[in-house]
Amino acid sequence: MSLVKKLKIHYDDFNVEIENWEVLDSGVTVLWGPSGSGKTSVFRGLIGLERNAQCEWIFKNQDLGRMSTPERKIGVVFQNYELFGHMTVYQNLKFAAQARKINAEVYESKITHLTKQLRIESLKHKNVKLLSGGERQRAALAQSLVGDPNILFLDEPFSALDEELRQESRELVKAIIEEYQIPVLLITHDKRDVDFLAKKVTLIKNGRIIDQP
Amino acid sequence: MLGRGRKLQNKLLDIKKLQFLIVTFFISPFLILFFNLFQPHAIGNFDFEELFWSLKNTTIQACYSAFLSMVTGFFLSLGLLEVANRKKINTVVDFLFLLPNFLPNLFIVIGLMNLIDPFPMGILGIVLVHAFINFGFVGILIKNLIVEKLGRSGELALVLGVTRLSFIFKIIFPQLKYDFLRIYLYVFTISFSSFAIPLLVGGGKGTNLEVLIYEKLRINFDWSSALFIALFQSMILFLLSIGTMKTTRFQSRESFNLKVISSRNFLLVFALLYVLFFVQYVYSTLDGVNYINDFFLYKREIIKGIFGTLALSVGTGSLVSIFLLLVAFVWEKNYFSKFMLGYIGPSSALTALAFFVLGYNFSFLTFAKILLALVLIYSSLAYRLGWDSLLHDLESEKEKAQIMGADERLIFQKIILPRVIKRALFLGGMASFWAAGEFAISKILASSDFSVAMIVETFISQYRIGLASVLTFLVLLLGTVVFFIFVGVGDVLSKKIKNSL
Repeated sequence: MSLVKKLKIHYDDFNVEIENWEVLDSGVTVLWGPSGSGKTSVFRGLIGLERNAQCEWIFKNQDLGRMSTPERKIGVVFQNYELFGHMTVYQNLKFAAQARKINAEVYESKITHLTKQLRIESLKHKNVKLLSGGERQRAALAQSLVGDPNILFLDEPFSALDEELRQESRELVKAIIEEYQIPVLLITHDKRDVDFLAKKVTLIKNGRIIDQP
Repeated sequence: MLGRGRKLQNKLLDIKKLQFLIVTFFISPFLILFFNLFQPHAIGNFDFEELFWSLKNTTIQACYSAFLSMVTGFFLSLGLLEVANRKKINTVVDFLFLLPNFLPNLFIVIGLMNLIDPFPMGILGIVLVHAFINFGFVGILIKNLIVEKLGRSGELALVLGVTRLSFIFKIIFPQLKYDFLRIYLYVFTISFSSFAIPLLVGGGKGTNLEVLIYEKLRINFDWSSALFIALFQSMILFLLSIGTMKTTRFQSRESFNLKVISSRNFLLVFALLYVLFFVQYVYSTLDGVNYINDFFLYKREIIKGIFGTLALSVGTGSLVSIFLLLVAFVWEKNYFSKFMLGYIGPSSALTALAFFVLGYNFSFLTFAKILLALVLIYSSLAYRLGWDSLLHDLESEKEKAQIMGADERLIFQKIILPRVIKRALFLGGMASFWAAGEFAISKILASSDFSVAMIVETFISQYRIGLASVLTFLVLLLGTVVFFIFVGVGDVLSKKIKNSL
């Protein structure tokens, strides 16, 4: 179990204040709440993207809150599946692996495995600008996993997809999470994501956790 | 009787005709020069060797100026990213680094001459001054591009643990290379048509096309050669302007964490450079006060210069304000708006030359010509400094009023004028500030120094930097006072017009 002992972020018109929030070591912890409840702020605060955040987050006996963003080794899929637009899928994955200083032999086999598993093998040499929404999501997921992250963060990962693609995508994500046995923090406002993926659900409102089983 | 009056008024206010007249005014320097060139004596025995030598100088100056501006601007942008998310600080820092673009060239040159002693006259000197003027502007542009286009990539790279160098070479350069090329071309074009700076610090070896035109006109009295060079130069500028026409409007309101690339150290280095620049300027100005006796020698000229500067400044500011209001009155989203945005004003020497060859040159007429030349150049600048976007923003309201049946006059009075008057006076104030420090066009058109800025230029050419520093301070003071008068008048008028609605 990892513990977010404290997360405080102060904005001009909004504050996030979280204390003693437990995030599971395995499976999916969902941070659930309506728009404007502070989900994305918590997400950014934990990653280390909010400069004015005070964070104390104990994970495997280390305080991630004291570490820089890269040192936290978090795999992230952003809401709009952020990828480097001038690169192909393969180049995006290779770049992520190189950033983590993974040697070529290892990352080549990882890329092959991930692209096969996420059904983007045929798209490897396609520029990411030419991908559909579902393809982009899978490429972003592969990119987040290629660097062996400690934990995976997913920010509304299905919200940009068509309705018919969503369930298929949820199943794929579930399969990947089970295979990699990696803890996941999922940010969503969609009840169906919660029902299908969550092992633990935390409800957030006005920047504060109001329900934590 | 009333009917005839209304008819006359309608005739005068014919939008299409007014649009045509404004366009004609803007292209008038080219038309005047074109028709003059076709006079039989125009080309004569033209010295092509000299032209190509000067073209080579101009190109080298522009190339290096743009390159140095890009390099320093890029490093500055990394520093600016450090404060990009702090709105108030970001605004202040942007304003400070944009200052050299708006301050009179005289001030920048004197400041740099004090900072770098001995100052390298010639091409190197020109390049240094150009780079100092443009690096802030370039840095801000690059910073905005990185935030706008690569903000999310920057966060992703941070999460992935990408290094700064890797982000620069693998993400920024490949993704922004065409934007960089466009900024380079823009600075190249500005430097290519620079006149005041080569005139001040060029020396004999730095003669560029603009200075060559000036020399042909004022030293050799060879009009036909000056005309030919001016048209040759405008042809090149026209070709260059095609590459720089696309304008970027930054609209992102999101803030990103760009720690992966931002650097406080770069910001500190450039801030230190600024502090040194201003400290040296103040030191030199205080030092110049020691030559108080010399000022008494030039008492008459300086007093005359103060009045000349005030007249030029107030005149230019007023005419630019009126001109901008006229543009707002006739503005439509058709060829006119496209022309106004795409139009790159002719170079200073070309404009001055066109007005020089037009009719007679004596006291009041010369002053009027200088005013017109400045209005032509500064109006197009002011248009790009927010006038265009302001008019674009009002377009839907104008349309709504038209649908409701309001005529052009009513729309202007009730919809446009209350919304633009303050900005018109502000931009007029900016023009008045620039006019206070202007000496280049005046040098071509007037036969003697009539403004403080012209006297400063004369002092610089005599290497009397202390005296020049003190007088530059006077120029800044006069320009600032007139600027704030315009801003104040704008405030008052705006309130009055809004109250009268």
